Amino acid sequence: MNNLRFTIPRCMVSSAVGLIFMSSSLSAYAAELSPHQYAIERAQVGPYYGAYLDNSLGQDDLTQNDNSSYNPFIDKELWFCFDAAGTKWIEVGDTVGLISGLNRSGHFWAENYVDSTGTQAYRETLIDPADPVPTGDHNFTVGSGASGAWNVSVDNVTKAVISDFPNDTSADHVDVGLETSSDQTSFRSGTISYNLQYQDSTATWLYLDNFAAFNSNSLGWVATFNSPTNTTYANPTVVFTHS
Amino acid sequence: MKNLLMKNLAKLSASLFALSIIPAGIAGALASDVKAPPHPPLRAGTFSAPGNSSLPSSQMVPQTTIVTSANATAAHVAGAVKSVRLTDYKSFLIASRSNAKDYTVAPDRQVYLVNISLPSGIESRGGKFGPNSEMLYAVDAQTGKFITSTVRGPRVGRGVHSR
Repeated sequence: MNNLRFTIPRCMVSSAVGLIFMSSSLSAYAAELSPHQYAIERAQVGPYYGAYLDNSLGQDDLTQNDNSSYNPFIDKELWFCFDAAGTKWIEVGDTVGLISGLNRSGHFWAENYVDSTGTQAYRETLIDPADPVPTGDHNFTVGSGASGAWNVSVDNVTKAVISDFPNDTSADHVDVGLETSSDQTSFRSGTISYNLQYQDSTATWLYLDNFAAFNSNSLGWVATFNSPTNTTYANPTVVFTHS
Repeated sequence: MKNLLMKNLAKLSASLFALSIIPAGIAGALASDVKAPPHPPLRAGTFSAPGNSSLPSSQMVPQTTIVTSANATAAHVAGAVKSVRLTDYKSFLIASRSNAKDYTVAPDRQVYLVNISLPSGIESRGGKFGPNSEMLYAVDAQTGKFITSTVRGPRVGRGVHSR
C-alpha cells in the first residue's frame, strides 16, 4: 500500500514533466528556415511573353501554425523570371502567413528588381488588402502591357502595372511551386496548380510543357508536372504532395 | 490481279506508317504548340482600399500601435526602427523607388510608413540581403492591415530562381 501510494505520485510527476518537456519541444520546433524551402516545377524553353495558371483552392489548401517567427509563410504561386541568373522576376499567387503578428494572407504579387539608384530591391504587395481573405480557385496572369510594362492580373482583372523591367520583353523561365519560410507550414497533399499556359511572341496563349522539377527542400515536399498527353489531367498541371 | 494486290498492300503499308507517326506528331505538338482557349480581355481593377485623405488622424489606428509592431519587427530581424510616420500610399511608392502602379490601393490612401535599418541584412520573402540593407513597409492607417513591403540592399548568393 505504501509502495502504491508512493508510486502513483511518481508516475504523475513523470507524466507532468513529460508533458512540459513535449510542450517546450513543440514550441522550440517552430523555426525560420534559411534558405527558404521550395517545391518547384520549371518551364525553361522560353522565351515566354506571358504566363498564366489556376490555383486550386489556393488559400484553403495552405496552412501555417507558426506564431513565433518574424515572417512565417507558405506560398503557392508562379514566378516569371526574366534572366537565367534569377536576379529579376515578377511573382504572383496565394500566400498564407504573418509579419510580426500582422495578417499577411491573400493573393499577392511581388517584384525583384533593380531600382533607379542601382540598388537591388524586393517588393511584395497584398492584393486587395482591405477585402476578406479569398477562398476557392482563382487564376493569375503576368502579361505584357503598354510601353514595356507588365500587367499582373487575378481572375482577369488587372491588379498592378509594373514598369521596373524596361529592358525585358520576355521571360527566360517560368517557375510554378510552393515556398515556405517555416517548418510549421503545410499544405493539403495533392493540391494542384493547373491550366498552365504561356504567351508566345504573337501574344497567342499556348499550354506550357517541358517542365523540370526543382524540389529544393528538407520537408519531403514534391512538385510533379503532369502532361495531358500521358495523365488523366485535362491540361498541364503541377501536383504538390508530401509524405 | 497481282497488281491490284500489290497496290492494296502498298496502301495498307502507307496507312500503317501514317498511324505509327501520328502519336509522335501529337506528342510533339503538345510539347509547345497547343493553343489554349482564348483569354477574356483584361478588365481594369478598382481600388478596394480607396482614398481617405479627408479623414482626420483621430479616425486612424493610433500610431503607438504601429510603433509597437515596428519594434517587434525590428527585434526579430536585428534591426532598428528609423521612423514611423503617417503619410499616404504614394509616399511609400516614392520611398521604395518602385515603378509599380497598384490598382487596389489608392495613391492618397493614408498609411503608416515604417522604415527599419538592417545592419546585419535579412532573409526576406524574396531571398537574402546583406549588411546595410533597409526595409520599408506600409500599414493601412484606417484598418491596421499590412499592405506592402520593400527590402533594398546588396543581394547575397544566388537564389533558387537562377538556373
